[in-house]
Amino acid sequence: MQAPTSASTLRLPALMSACLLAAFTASAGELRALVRDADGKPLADAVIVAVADAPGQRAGRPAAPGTDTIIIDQVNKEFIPYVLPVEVGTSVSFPNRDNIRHHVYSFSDAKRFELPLYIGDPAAPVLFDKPGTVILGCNIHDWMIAYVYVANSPYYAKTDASGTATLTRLPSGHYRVRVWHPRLAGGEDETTESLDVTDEGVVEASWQISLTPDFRIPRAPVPGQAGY
Amino acid sequence: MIRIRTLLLAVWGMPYLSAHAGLVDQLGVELRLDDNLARAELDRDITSDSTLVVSADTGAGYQVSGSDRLKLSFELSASAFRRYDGLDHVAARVTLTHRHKFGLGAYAPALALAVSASRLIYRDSARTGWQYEAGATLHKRFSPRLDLQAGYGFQLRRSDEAGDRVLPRIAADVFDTSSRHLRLGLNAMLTPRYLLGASYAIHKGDIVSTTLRNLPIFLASDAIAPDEVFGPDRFAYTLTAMTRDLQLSLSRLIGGDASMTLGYQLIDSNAEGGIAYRSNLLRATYLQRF
Repeated sequence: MQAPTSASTLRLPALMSACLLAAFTASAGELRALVRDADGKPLADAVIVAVADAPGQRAGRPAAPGTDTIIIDQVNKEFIPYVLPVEVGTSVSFPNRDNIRHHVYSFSDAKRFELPLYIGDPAAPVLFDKPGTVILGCNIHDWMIAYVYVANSPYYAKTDASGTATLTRLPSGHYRVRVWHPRLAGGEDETTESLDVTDEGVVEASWQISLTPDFRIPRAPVPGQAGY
Repeated sequence: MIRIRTLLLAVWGMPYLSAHAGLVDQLGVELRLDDNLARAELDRDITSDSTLVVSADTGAGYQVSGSDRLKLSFELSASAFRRYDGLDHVAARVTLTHRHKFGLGAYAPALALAVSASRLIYRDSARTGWQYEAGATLHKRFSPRLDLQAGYGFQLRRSDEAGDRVLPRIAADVFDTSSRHLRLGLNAMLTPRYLLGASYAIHKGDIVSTTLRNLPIFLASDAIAPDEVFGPDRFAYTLTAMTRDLQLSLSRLIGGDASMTLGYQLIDSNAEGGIAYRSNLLRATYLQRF
């Protein structure tokens, strides 16, 4: 009979941890978002942001992303990812994996910066300290473009190819949830929906948004134009 | 002598052999239709033909600073004509370009200065020679959809050998020509996949017209030589002319590294002595960057 006692003793810390985790999980909700374009097709690279009405709700903010540095790569003369959502106060590094130099810049009000010609890792990451959309470019390769969406809330996620995104560990309460996309037609505020998140269960929400045409500076070679 | 078609095949095959080794930056294949290949005025002299052109580009660039870039590029091309195979040729061109950007970002204007030298080897040896070009192009992008260019350039062509003199004291170096041009152009995205290109250029300088014996052209010409590429009793005349050149194109962008383009070009020349000719060219061009 010693064995069960012993086993119970050994299990106690794990059981306590499980209870704590369950208690924490029970106090946090989940928002599953689906974003589609005007034709009903799933839309990738849309950012869902949930802003709590009551500041106290922020106490249950999601775990920090960890010690990994958040990066936007430069690979084959493109930024990867195309859209990166971060919270205000996040630093982002811009390593250049190509064997040619890039010159990253932004003119956006939310963050003006310039990383002059470099290969490999730039000297220091860039701190995004104001909310808003930051458009990135490369002064050498004009077609290169990417977006850093700086959210004024810790609750955000980006849709994948299926158009879905999940915001986890939302404290129960009332939220204003909005959608942003690089080609969003109209204002971001127009997408705002009010949602109640409860301690248990999952809240599902969907958006169907209109997009502007995807005009980008062409990269492909055309006759009569000098390449880079 | 290596046959032109063999060279054409070699250029065609080169990308397959070397694309993965990074030796070829870009491959181009073009089918061209020209309704007045001889640049002739009279119906009896006007000839049309189709041409297949295969080209491969490579080069090395050096970013001197955030604003300045130097590029040395090499292009090897082969052209095969369906009817007039005397015009079959290969061309090897080296170009040095300096591009300066006046500011930061995609919408800063840029100035490109380029000089090039081309070695032209024709099946018809009278046309074999060198071609030199120099030019400046100012480029300004206004939006992701629209950019404009304005350029000025010179062209000088020198043959290895002059043709046989038709008459004493009449120059026979018909393919030794020079000209200068002013060009304006724009590119406009019609949709995210289709790019419209348009340009208008004015050339002043020499043109070469091949015709049967023709007194008005004879009187207006600076040089004359027999030109059997277009048949017996044909003569090439060098004329000083003002040429207007209108080009329109529609490119289908295929991903980020390729395009298919249909193009139209109108060449309208007015030479001294009231001589005028007009040519219409259609092009289908596929470009692939590696």
